[in-house]
Amino acid sequence: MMDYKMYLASTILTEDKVITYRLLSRALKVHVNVAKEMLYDFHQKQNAKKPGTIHATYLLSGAKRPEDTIPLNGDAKKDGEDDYMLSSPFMSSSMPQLEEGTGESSVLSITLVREEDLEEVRSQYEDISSIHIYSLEPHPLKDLQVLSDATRELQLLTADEDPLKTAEQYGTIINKNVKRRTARRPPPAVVAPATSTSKASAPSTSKAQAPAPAVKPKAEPKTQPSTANDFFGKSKEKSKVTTTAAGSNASSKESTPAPGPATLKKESSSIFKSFAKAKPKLKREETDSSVVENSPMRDVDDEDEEETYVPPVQSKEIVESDRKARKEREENLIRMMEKAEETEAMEVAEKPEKEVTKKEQSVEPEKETAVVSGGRRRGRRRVMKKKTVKDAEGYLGMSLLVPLP
Amino acid sequence: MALPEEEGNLLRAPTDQKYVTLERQPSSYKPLETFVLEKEKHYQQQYGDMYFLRLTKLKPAVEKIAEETWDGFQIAGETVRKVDRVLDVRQGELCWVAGTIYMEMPLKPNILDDISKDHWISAPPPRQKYLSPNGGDLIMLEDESGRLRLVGTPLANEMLVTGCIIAVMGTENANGDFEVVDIKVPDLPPQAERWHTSSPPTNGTSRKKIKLDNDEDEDMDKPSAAGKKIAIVSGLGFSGTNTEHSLEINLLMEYLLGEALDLATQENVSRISRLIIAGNSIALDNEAVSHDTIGNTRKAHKKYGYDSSAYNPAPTAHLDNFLAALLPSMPITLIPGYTDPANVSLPQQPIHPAMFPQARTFGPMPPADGQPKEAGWFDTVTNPWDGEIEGWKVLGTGGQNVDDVFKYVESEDRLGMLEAMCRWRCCAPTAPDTLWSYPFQDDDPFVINSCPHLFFAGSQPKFDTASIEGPDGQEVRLIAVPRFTETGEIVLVDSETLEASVVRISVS
Repeated sequence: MMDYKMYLASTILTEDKVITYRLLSRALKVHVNVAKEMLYDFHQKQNAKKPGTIHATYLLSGAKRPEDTIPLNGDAKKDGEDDYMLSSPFMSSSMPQLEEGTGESSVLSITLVREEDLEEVRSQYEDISSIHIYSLEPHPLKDLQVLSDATRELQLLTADEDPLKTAEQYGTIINKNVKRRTARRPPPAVVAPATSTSKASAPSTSKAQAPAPAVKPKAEPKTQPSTANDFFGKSKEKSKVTTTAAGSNASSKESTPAPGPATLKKESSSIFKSFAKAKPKLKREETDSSVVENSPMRDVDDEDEEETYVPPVQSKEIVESDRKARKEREENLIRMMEKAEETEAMEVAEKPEKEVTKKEQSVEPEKETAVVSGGRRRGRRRVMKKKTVKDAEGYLGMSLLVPLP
Repeated sequence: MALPEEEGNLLRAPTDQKYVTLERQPSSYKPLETFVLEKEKHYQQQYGDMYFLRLTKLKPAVEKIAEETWDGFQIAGETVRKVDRVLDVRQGELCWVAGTIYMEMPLKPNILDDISKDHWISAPPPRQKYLSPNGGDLIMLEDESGRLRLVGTPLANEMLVTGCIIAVMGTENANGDFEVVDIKVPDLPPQAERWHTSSPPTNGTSRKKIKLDNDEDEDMDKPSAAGKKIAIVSGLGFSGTNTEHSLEINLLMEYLLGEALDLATQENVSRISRLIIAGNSIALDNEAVSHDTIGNTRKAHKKYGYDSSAYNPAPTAHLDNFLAALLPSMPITLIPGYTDPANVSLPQQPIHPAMFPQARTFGPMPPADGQPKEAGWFDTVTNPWDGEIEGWKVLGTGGQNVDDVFKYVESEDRLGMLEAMCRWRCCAPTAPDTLWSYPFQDDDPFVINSCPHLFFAGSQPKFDTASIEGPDGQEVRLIAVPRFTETGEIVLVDSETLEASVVRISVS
């Protein structure tokens, strides 16, 4: 019974929190009426020791004096809001209105009031039927509406409780006849923390994933010697990568406008070009042209990469020769795709490997597009100038600019 | 300063007092499905049929009353004569005829105005009243044959709106206008006694009946103590942008759960057997959808999924939390209103329970084989809605019907409009003229066939209540339920006397 003082002292004085009787009853698993008394007791004793350390709000109910008809919120015109047009001047004539039966019906007024205004509000009441402390707080509340946060806090606190079972403990009015479906979905209140845990688990899974690819190249270095080399080599010296990228850009036949603020992805696509020239000899020209045209398009969003990856089966039929090399690449790709989903933190470390991914991925589709429509497109597309632009929110996007003569 | 009594004062140190668990009174509840539309709705029909359906349904009733009062009525030696059709009225002949009122008002919204809206720079704000100040309004009586313009002083004393069925007595003057001498309305429909279709709970009332017979004195204070209450709240106005009233709503929740205040109040609250939410639970958030400078909604560039800039789920989530907190303790009937996420035209169909992922677990159980469908603990219903609560026939609306009648008449008296609707036997007379409505073909459900005991309308500017009586001893309790966001008021209706009281929640 005494531990409530400890709890209140730590919550209000140490943690600087506002606590309502409902929060207290949930935290200590006591009846709400007991919680109200605890708040009062603590308030009295604490302020006796050190006056003014704790402030309270009171909830009171009863009958107000009839004379003070409080101006209702609705009567006050809100600023700047359009009012209805009154088309008729005769409104005033009908204004003296009959009060039909409103007077006799009883009104129970419930008011939440700050400690400081308590006496004033009390004087408005003709008869106070009940009064209790609603909340305690370390500072006087400027806006009482902050107390509604307590309800939200309470929902989190009791998210895993079944209200039907705990109602009795807290003094909520129970209802025997309540009908609830048995197959109960988890309420969103429970879902909310669940998502946060999933968020928390996300990095952990990525951590779990992260070592795996790092191990893989070690485990099978013979099967993918080039990739592994790339991986380790590039991670050592990043600057080299960029220089090679720039070089490949310059050496490319097409007069690709080298974009100034080149992103990682952009870079990778230009790296790919050097790769593409070196690797598949087949249909070189078309490949090259489509590289310039297609690979930057892909950069716009990652989902396309997944989509374009899908049809390698088709391309197998077309390109019979280097099936073996392709298989290897596919394996590579799958692994890389997994990596692509990793967190940003990992991305930095894996920069070089990702670049390889991009290279490999773009090899696949571009052959197909080259077969289908490469030639025709080239002529038309070439007049457009592409530029990577950064908008106000910091997003990078492509824009097609002035057509070249 | 009045000091609180000892028991109501919780300003004391914790005692060893054991608090008894309070149990809520059961609610006897039988919703009717008068206003439920079929799943497959057709909108090809003409609206005109509704007026003729209404006229054929109500004409016999009003003619009966007119005949009783005006039979043998003489003016200057001329006896009044019944005329069957409006066009059969002859000039200079004293007669009476029944028909539908049509108000020709220049300021009434017109479909042709909507077309010409394209040419306006900005549309004028909606009018509060349709009445024109210079008397440009014409009152006409119409039936299937034609229309007749009504003139005369009795019209000024009677509340008249488009769509109500009345009988008028008088003569046609030289201008071809009908000089009205007297007006009759269908008046209250026949009323069934309490517990007409639903059966009373066996123990509660029968015991009281015995008491009534045995001991008069004991009975004097017993019913008030044993009486259950029905809580009606309207205009909770959950908003995604404005949290001004969230504390008041929380206090309301705590009050209804029986957690706030002292033991005596909590015991009173435990007698509230049901909560009815009468419309406008969700506020109209114009800011929810982002607009560009010209006023067009901005299309965010998104491929799939919903656009969070165009849809704000917060209001329904707050409402769901509110409902889910109350439902373990009390059953709730949810009537949609003008601003709620339901269809706009009357009868508004129930808000889909999928909007409330938590509260829907209290929804109706799928009926077992052969069993009749049972009303859910959490019942989302139509607007207007009727049903039986504690044996009383209850008819309630979200308030659009009253708000629309309000635009036709000079009066500000909301209760008078509720009363007039009862006496017209039509709970939405202005539908389908200025109140959007489903084009009914076979039946006009807005016609009140059996008189309710309790008739309420939500979203009214202030609380008001009265009891009216009909010619055959019918008694109807009328309640204008105020908007909670503006007044902080909820209405408690006594289940025995149907008397209404108010609980006002405020934060100072």
